[in-house]
Amino acid sequence: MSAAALALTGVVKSYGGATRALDGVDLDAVAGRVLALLGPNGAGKSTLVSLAAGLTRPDAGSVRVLGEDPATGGARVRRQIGLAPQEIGVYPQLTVTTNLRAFAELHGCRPRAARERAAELLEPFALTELADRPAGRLSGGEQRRLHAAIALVNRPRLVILDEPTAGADPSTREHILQAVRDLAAGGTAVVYTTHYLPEVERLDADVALLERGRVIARGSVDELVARHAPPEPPGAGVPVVRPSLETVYLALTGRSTVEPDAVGAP
Amino acid sequence: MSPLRAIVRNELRILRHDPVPLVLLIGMPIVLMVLLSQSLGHVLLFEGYDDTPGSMHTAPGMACLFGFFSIAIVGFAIFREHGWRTWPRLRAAGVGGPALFAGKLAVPAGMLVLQHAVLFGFGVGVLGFKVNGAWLAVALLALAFALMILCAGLAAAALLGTVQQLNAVTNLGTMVLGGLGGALVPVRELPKWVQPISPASPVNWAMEGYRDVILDGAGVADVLPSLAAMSGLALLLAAVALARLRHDAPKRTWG
Repeated sequence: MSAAALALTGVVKSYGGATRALDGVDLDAVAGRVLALLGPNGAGKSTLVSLAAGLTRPDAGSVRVLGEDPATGGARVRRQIGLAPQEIGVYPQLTVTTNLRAFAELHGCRPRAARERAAELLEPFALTELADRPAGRLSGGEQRRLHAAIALVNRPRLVILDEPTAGADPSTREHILQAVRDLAAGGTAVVYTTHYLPEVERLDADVALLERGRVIARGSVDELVARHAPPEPPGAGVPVVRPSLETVYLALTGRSTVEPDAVGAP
Repeated sequence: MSPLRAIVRNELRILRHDPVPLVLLIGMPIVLMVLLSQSLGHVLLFEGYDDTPGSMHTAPGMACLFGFFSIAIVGFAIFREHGWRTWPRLRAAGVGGPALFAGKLAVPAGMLVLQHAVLFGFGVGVLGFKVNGAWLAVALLALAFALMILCAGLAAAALLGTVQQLNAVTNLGTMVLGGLGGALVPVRELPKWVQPISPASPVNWAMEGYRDVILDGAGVADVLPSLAAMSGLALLLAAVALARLRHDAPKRTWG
């Protein structure tokens, strides 16, 4: 078993004293694996992402990234984390290359190293042809790819992608999924939130299903299906179809994955 | 690369791609100096300054008035990161508050220095501007004024929640405080009922100091009250900004 790149222990986080976004969460993400965070809107996924990235602190419990508290560990631990927040964050008037260089420098790279790293990231995200185009003149899918690429400028050991394919076209989705697979294959720990369950199956991810701030199911896709999929109704002559993660999700949460912010899902 | 240097480099990149604010902050006051200097020459004559070019009022006046617009520049440098959704990325990159806010101040500080240098230089070269007192006093007044403006920008970013509030407060505030403080016309030419409240405007503190040096030949010691007032307000605004600026404070922009 690999050491946890991200470890949450008994994490509680409330907003305004009333809304408990996370309620005693224990979770870890290990090097070389993708941890998919699933759950309906308001389940606590984005709060968990903020905690993991050190953007906010838990009310109780501990968050550790490579053994250090990301909220207080300073630049050293933050530079081990790559974050792509849910909303696209790029400098619209700067070119694709300059955006990548700028964020590499903000992560501590010298100008030459930043330039080299920016060049390395163009091809995996299909940005080579767009390298000199201002980010503000990219399509939504192109911006989404740039947004995801920026999360990797610092060669992080923990990458956190918060709904990286939301609203993305199939081509963009495929580029991002391939990049995630490559990251995991290279030994990076990836935390990946999504509403698109087929992506989770394609990534062969470990799954944590959140509901009302708690982890209600945890395991590989196969384990969850074996453990939680409802039995097939008996019927002579009905072909046997392998239950999907979707059926598990529905069984555990009682909700569809197609929610208002998941419009456009495949 | 240090976070501070990275922030400054990024701010310069953004300015290079969109230099309109800098061009306006320097170009507009030059245009107004050209348009107003003749009239202000008559006003200065009326005040008892014989053979004195109007630029000896318009140069510091426009520097103060358009310097005040830099409050919006500082505030917007912070607000736009929220509008572009890049703020969480800066925080996640491990850029600490001191480096982030210092980096955000560095470019507007340079713009203010450049603005003052160009306006006074244009006055000297084209409009017959001269300083009857000590140039060192002029430089110190400009520095204290710039410090006050930068701190006001940080305080505005700390206290205001939306970019609309920032625009309204800074633009309206600049025009009101600039006019009240004597940046457009000397305080003695303002309505009688306005003159007693003119010292409430920080622009007045700067303009009184500038006029003492430029028109009346004062030295550094003579402008210490102006320097102290502007520096004191700068410290107060910095304290407010330190107390209220929060990394995770939400800011509503255009998104």
